[in-house]
Amino acid sequence: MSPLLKLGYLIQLVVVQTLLVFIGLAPLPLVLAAADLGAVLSFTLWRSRRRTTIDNILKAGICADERGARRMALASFRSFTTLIAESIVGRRRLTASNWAHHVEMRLSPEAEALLRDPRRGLLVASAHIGNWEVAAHAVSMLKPITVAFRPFHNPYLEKAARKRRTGENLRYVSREEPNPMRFVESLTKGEIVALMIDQHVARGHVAVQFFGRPAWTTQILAMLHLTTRAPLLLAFALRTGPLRYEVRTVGPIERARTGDREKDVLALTQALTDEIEKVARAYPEQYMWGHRRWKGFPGQ
Amino acid sequence: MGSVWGILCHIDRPCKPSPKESSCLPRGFRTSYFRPRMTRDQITENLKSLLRQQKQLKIEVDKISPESRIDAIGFDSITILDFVYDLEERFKIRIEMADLVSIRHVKDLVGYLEGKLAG
Repeated sequence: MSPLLKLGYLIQLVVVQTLLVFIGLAPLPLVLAAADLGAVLSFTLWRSRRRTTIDNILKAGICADERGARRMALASFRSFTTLIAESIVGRRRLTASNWAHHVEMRLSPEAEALLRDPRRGLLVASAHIGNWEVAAHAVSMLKPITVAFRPFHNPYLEKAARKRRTGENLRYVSREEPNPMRFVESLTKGEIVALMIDQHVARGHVAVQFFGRPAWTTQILAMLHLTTRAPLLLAFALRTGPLRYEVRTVGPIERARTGDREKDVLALTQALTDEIEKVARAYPEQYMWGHRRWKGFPGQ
Repeated sequence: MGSVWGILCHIDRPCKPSPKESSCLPRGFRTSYFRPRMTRDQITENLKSLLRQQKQLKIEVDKISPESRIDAIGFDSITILDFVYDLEERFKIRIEMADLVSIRHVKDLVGYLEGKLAG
């Protein structure tokens, strides 16, 4: 790592740590106001991300015109900065004794039984909607959870974030984890393995249709389900108010194994993606549209 | 019935269904009749051939020895699952999750498959 890059990374770390101290000490209304201001500023100044967000909203057909897409994009920015602020606040305020006051679990009887069975490993797909950090934290109160995540480029930030996000029953494991059996081991212990599956991935991917357009999606969750036979749910937390959420689940999602691996992976990943699309259509203002979701295909 | 399946699949065991096998199959019918019976060498050759077929796995299969650790062969968290899926399809077996994590070396895998194929 060059000295200049190292310095840049360290400056990023200091800025983030300072913000974390502020968010941790300030009252919630002030934190939320600051998050709102942060959203407006980033929307105004970060032109490339704003453009991607607006384009994605238009491509998905969520809004018919540029003006509507712009409004929706700002709402999506607000949702994201609120997520960051509330996740930091929530880490301190949501405890084993009070989390149910903040998070309402709207689960199907099958999903509830799976989440409350301490012996059975469970696979959970999630998406960048509502507050995924709180969703993982809340679910960890019911069952230990291992969340697979994409590491930050900044190694200092990476270390700090992992330390901060890890909880008693909540572990974050990099997708680049060198032990290939790490996720299977978690499942054998009766834990949840959770993964966000609505981001572009460059390797180990399958092309699914998302809002009618091809999008590269990780195949790891489908492969874990097909080989371990662990049940598979889609789960997400919608924001219903300041530090108030509703966790919902879809599934168990199942597809019969045909003997054709690629076909099975595609069918299962498409089924999960279809469910994510339904949620994103229903709550577009809470969906993070800033990803370059359709990257890697001609004309995208 | 049993002898016909026995001839077809080179299996000469008695037709006594184990309690684990599906009750919806005809009486005396064993799912293991579909499994190929193989020697240790044949299993090893089949494993090597499967490894060569793993498109995303960049390894020199001939350098793998029975003592090689599975996690040192070059798998990542997806390619290992691809391999397990193909393994199950090739040998017509089902590998349980707990067995999967306990297999550490290539020789353990060969021994495990031998045991599975023997019924």
